[in-house]
Amino acid sequence: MSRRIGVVVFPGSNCEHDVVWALQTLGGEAELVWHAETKLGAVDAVVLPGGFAHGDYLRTGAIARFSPVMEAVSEFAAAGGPVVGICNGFQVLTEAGLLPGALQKNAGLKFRCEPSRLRVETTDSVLSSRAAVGQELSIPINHFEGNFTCDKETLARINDQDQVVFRYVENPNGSVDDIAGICNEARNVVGLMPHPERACEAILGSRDGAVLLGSLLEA
Amino acid sequence: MDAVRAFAGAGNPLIGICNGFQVLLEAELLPGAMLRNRALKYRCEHIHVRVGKSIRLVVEANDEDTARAQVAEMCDRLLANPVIEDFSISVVAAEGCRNA
Repeated sequence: MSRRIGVVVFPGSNCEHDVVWALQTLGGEAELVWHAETKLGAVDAVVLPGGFAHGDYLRTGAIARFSPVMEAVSEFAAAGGPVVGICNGFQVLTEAGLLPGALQKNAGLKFRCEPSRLRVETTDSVLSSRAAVGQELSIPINHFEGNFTCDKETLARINDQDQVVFRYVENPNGSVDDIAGICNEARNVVGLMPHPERACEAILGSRDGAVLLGSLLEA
Repeated sequence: MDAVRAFAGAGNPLIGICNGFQVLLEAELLPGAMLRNRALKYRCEHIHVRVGKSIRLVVEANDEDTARAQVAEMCDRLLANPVIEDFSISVVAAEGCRNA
């Protein structure tokens, strides 16, 4: 495996090095891409990592989608390139219109930082191809705005089209239909609130994230 | 309360004010519960409440319609996320504005 992954860094991102480390640990290559860049360079996939891009002041991801690099990310995605948004990166993808829905404050109005159990709902996505449908994964969450929502028509559509990639076994944030992660119709753009990069080594308490980032390295 | 519950269950508007709010909580028609005030004091006073976000900004425009259109575009593109938010715009002339 020598796939090269571009990890976008916005002002306020804070999980980019964890993602790079995890991808390298899994045998991939990774490079950081500053948000002001207008080109992605020679990368095979893109990750938008977690954090607080541009500070979250107006709304999570609202400003980040105007970062110059996002035009290149949108073109890359439109051309079928694999794009994964983790946590704040998921919020950025919804604001950018690359994924449907929105992420609002957790139902309990509490920031939640804890292990979560996810169920893999489809293996037909760039982040879950190596997993098994029904497989349960232990991967941490770390968010205040992880409560996925969308209108009824959108929910019916993403269910009908098998776009729900992960569901929480125990819903921690009020997400509609226990949704933890979704993909776009073309299945090359995936967003999820849990942090697979924090569950790729036994010392971290779980290696369950490795199957997901490993899928991306093969996508 | 059986009748009230049936009324609400049929989708009708139901509002609980103060003790009525507490009743709705006890009746589990709304989630949560009320505790005694933190300072253990009875409070009777005017307060200001605000729903959602209020964003004030100054735009330059020759007339109100143009100003409103500019702000509507800002809301559509950035200030509001239509999946979870809606917005309303109120325009007032800035001090010293010639086209008030």
